[in-house]
Amino acid sequence: MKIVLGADLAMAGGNSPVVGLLKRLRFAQAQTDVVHAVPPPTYTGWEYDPVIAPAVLAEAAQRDREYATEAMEKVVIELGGDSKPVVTMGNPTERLMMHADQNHADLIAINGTAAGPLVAFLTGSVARGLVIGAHQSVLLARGASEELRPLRAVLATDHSPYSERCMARLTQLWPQGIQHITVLSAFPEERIRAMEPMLPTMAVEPTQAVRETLEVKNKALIEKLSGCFHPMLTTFESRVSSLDVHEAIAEAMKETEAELLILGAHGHSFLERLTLGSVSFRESVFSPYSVLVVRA
Amino acid sequence: MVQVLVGVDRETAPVVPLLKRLDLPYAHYELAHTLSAADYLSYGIEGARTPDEVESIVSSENRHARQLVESAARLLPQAKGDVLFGHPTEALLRRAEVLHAELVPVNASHARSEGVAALTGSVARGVAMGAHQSVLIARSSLLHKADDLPLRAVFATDHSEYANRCLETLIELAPRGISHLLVMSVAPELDLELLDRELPELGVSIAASVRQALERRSEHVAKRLSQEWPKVTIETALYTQPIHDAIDRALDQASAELLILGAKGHSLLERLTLGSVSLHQAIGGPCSVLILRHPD
Repeated sequence: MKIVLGADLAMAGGNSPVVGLLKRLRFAQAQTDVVHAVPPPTYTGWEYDPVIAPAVLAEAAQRDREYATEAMEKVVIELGGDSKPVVTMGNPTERLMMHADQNHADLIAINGTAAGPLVAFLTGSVARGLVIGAHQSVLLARGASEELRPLRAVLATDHSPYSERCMARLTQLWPQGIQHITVLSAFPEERIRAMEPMLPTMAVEPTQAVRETLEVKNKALIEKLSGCFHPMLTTFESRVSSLDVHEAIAEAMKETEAELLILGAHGHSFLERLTLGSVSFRESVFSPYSVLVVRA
Repeated sequence: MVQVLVGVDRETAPVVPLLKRLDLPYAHYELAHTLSAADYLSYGIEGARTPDEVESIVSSENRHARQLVESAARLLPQAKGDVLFGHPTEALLRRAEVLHAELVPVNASHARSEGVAALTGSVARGVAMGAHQSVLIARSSLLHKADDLPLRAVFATDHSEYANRCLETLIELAPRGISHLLVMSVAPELDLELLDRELPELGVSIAASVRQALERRSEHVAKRLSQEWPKVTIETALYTQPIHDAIDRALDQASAELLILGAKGHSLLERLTLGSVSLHQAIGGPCSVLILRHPD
């Protein structure tokens, strides 16, 4: 499998969340391209000088490139395994996506937004751009990654057909480093309850029935997943929540002490099928934990 | 030991043959014929008879009643016969209380139509509504005239807590004469689909969830019954029609002569009285009905 790691120069200093997380996830037979896009020159004024400008610009760009290549080499060494540095010029989001498309990558991994969510949302972030625009699954790493700590994840699913495909994709990506996966699904109990007066009285409440169905589906999914993950290495649990989906995710992440949230990219309303689902968008941009948005 | 108080009127059929076919192993039968004052006091009102004549009529009525009940008692093993005085329903119910009876079988109303039975009052209706015990209302079967054929029955349940307790009552009665039992429940499919349309963002269908929940519970009931009664063939069915249509269908499907159901519904009012479904079936149903009550 092919991973495109979007790297910035700061990563050369080590202790980068995304490098740590990738190492801990241990994707099977991963080839990693450590891609850095040198942003277009921001210095102004030089270009108006007809004599010096081209030479100075070329020189500056070359210097940037060399510096970046050196930095990427360091990241590659830290990452280890089958990886190589790639340095290009241009807008980071665009370059990353283009490189991923050209090389048929399966996953784009980058650091999540470091700035606060509101700032990131307003000023634009590479993470947000990728989550919206990429055709591949996207891994956003946040927070310090301790290598020795077991990696626990929450897998949020609505059991829609798309979500099922995403789960199949996840087994292809095969992150062997996850020790514990909590399969989470949520349903709007309050709203169903509010509509119960429209129904004839029934001994089996619709909310109870939906909860049972989700539990059965969670168990089926766990069975499917545990066929792919090593039973000695990865354990599973099922969780059905009646909270609002974002609250449910936050609660599950907290209670299971998980560091990684895994979810499918699309929702199942018509509009959400066409674009990125609102849940995955919100979670990937605003959440404080690492997020793996799976695309099928 | 199950104390059974059988109400017999001028005819022993169909209730006594039905009891023979049901074959309750732990039953201790007492047969009762009620002699209402209205049956013979009118002789005195004419004024044409002397008190002595009335006395002799009363004693011959009594003798006749005693003969009737004793001949009926001979049809059931170790049964006793007794004559009760007073209003038939009241006398029967009072006797049932005294005896701590657990089952009161009676013949269905002889009136031809449901309307007449409801207006003029029938002992069967009175007993069904008033008894604190389980009630068996016997109707002569159009399907099988033979008395020794095994019974095919339908157990209608809404899987409420009360219905589950009634299941235990049924298991305690342990009728050995039942050869086939269809466990049926009903899902209001159309109403539930309405809910599904209201909640398109839910990944699972509420109607399907309720259906599956009911099926699972029916399977559970079937499993419980087949453990208790290994010789009985048990099937389950889920219907989406209105309840009475569904019961008719189930009776057809199983070629059943006996409908078994819990006495109470699960709305507040129905918990206090006899459930509307049970009442409807008791008065107007096409076949014999066993209305189960759980002593609590």
